[in-house]
Amino acid sequence: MNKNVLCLLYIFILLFTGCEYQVGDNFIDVEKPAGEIEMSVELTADNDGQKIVISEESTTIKYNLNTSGHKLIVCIFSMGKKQWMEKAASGVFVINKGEVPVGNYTLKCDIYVSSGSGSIADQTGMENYLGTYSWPVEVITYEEPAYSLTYKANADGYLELSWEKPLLNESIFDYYRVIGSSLDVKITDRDQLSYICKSHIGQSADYQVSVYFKNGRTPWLLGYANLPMQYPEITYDSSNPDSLQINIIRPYKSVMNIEYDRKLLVSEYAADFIRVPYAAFGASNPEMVVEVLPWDKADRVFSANIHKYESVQASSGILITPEQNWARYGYNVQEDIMYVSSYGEITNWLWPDIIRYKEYKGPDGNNVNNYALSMYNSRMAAAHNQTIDVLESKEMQHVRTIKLENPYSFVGAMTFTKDDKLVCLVSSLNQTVLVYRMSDGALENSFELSEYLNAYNASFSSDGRYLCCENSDRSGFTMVILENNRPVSMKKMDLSYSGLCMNPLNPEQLIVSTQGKIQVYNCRDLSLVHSLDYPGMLVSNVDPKTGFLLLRGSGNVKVINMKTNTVLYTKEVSSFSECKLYGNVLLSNTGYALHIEKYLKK
Amino acid sequence: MKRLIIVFLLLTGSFAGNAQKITVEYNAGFGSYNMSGMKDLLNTMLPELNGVKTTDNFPGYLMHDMRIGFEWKRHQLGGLFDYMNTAGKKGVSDYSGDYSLVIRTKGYKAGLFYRYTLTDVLLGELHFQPYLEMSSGMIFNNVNLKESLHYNISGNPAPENVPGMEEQLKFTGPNFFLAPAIGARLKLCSFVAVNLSIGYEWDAVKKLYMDGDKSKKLTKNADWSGFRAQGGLIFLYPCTK
Repeated sequence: MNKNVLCLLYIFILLFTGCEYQVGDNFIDVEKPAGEIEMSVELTADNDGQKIVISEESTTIKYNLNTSGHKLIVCIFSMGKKQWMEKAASGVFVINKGEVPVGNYTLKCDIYVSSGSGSIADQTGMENYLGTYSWPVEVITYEEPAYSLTYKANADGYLELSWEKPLLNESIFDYYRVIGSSLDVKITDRDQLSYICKSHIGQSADYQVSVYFKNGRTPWLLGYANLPMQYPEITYDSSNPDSLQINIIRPYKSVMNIEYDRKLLVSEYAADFIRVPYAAFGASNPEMVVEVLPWDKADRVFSANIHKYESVQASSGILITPEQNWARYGYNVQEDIMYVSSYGEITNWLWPDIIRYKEYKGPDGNNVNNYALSMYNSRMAAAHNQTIDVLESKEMQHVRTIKLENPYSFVGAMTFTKDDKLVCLVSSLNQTVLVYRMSDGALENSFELSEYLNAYNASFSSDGRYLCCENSDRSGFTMVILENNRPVSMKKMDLSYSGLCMNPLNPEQLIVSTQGKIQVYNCRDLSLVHSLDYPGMLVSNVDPKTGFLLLRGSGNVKVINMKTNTVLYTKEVSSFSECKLYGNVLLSNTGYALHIEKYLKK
Repeated sequence: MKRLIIVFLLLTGSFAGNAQKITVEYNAGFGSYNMSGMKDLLNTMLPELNGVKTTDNFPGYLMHDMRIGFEWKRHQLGGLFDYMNTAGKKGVSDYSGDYSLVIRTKGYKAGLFYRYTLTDVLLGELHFQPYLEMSSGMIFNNVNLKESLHYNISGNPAPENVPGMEEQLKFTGPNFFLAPAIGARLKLCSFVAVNLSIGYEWDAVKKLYMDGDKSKKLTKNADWSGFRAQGGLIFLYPCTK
């Protein structure tokens, strides 16, 4: 019984729960959408024709969608990790450069457009047409100019500035602006990527080129150039014996006004060289002023011209002591080399080609007062105030430095003897002759002259056996005769003379110019050997190499062969210049050296 | 609930001593349901879809009734257990998918009934016994809200769109009911009778609360008030002493 009841209850419960109200359906027959529709996207952004260019801190991109009348569900632009979701068919979105690092990207666009069928999926945005588009994008950094401004002298010689075409949309381009020191130019042709500045002649100048936009956005600096001052380059061609060719190379096309020795030489001169006649040999250098002006008068700006001041070599020959600082000269016939000092620095020149060879600067750097050059070897001594540097050969190898023991004020004359001693006349209260052994540098002998003589006008014979000094009262000269480096006698000659010198090739000879004559004396007894007639000429020196006598007159010099008493060469010289002849090279005290061998009369 | 069972046992227990027969009956019927609250709820929910319409608005529907009681003389007393359900729906469907918002209400009724047999008319060998009935008790409501959207296609959905959805909420709560009825039974034999009755049910409605979170309640309620018509079989078992 109970089982039956339970079974019945169970059946009832199943009957209850299995009989649930069934709800109805509302099916609507909707037409399915067509397969495809026409869609497109129009973007407006900076571009270079190939790709979109993002260069501003914040770039706005305009878009306009064509959805063929269908409702836009959403338009998703994405670039890198950045995404913009737009729900309007046209509008803008902003790309901030900080959000997208510099580099190349692809801007993608997915457009979801309602199918328009009216179906449930359509109404809920699940049934769409999808359009996918993409564009290449380059994000560039602009803080530093992306493009360099280059410049050069073009084929016509004018300054030509050029820049690279900026990456931007032509529609917003307005003009290029070129700004210089006295220049402000607008260029409206977008394809013109250079500008010729005819007013630039080499002056220091800053140029910058910017591009301006129609929409008023901040202009871009395309580049800048800082042009350093470029003076005209001046070189000399002295190959012509009569005139000097001055080559003036201007960096840009221009003309010149040239002022030479305070006189206007040429005006608006266009050629690259000018020829000026040499002044007298040894003349001081005049100043040349080269004023550079723009080629066209219309491009000239007041006070913008370039001036170059140049001390021009006016004399023929080669300037071997251009600075003229305490210049002293010494010639070694054995090495055929000339020593020239400027203050304490010694430079030697290969003779007679006059080629600079080597420099030497002594340890104390004192001025060189005098040289001693050996006639027998390659030794050279350079006397300073308290020391004498002994150098060897043209390599100027330092042998030793002799320190003068007493506080002598001046070394008046020096020479090397045949037995390799250095004989020096030094001046203090009394004139003293010091004799040093070159083998060890020791002072071998010294003696004071018994009579006060003018040590400043003194010279040894080339073998050191004779010392000729001007008398202290300038009444003539005194010859001190030495034997074994000791004084044996002194002979005084009262003679009004205008110049004298020893003959280095014949130590027994003293050559004196007096009363229009050139007289040759024997050093030992001061007897007259012979006399030459050269009125108005003074003795300058005898060439240690050739034995030719150099005479100096008023405004000229003559080279004399004493053996034949013939004038081998005459040269106009500056009246202010004293000349010497060493190894067939005429040397002025203004520093010019002129090799005259080919001009000597045979 | 415990109290109701105790009352039921006391009442039936006191009658059981005089009982002549035990009755077990099943009735199937049809009920019309007021459900004004649920209809309001369905109407206020307006999905943003074109073509949505109400397909079902809590119509009357089949009900099941099971009773156990005691019969003595003209009286019959016992307990009842009923099951009622109806539903409301808004929705639309097409080739691309379907959307539906269904509120399904179920009522599990438990209570006591009392019948008084007015007369016993012999129709041949059959007894025709009209009666008056009063029943009362509680209805345990179960309201299920289900909203769903399903797609049948994949047509380039926009990235932010969710591919379909289904949400469901369940509320429960009791009603009190009082149901007078008039009916008749035709005894086919000494232990089987056919039963027919009509009546009306009044519900004293109470709030519905979210299942699992009683702090959330539904402002609308499930009102099962309405006419009832049912018929079934009564099985009679004589009590043995």
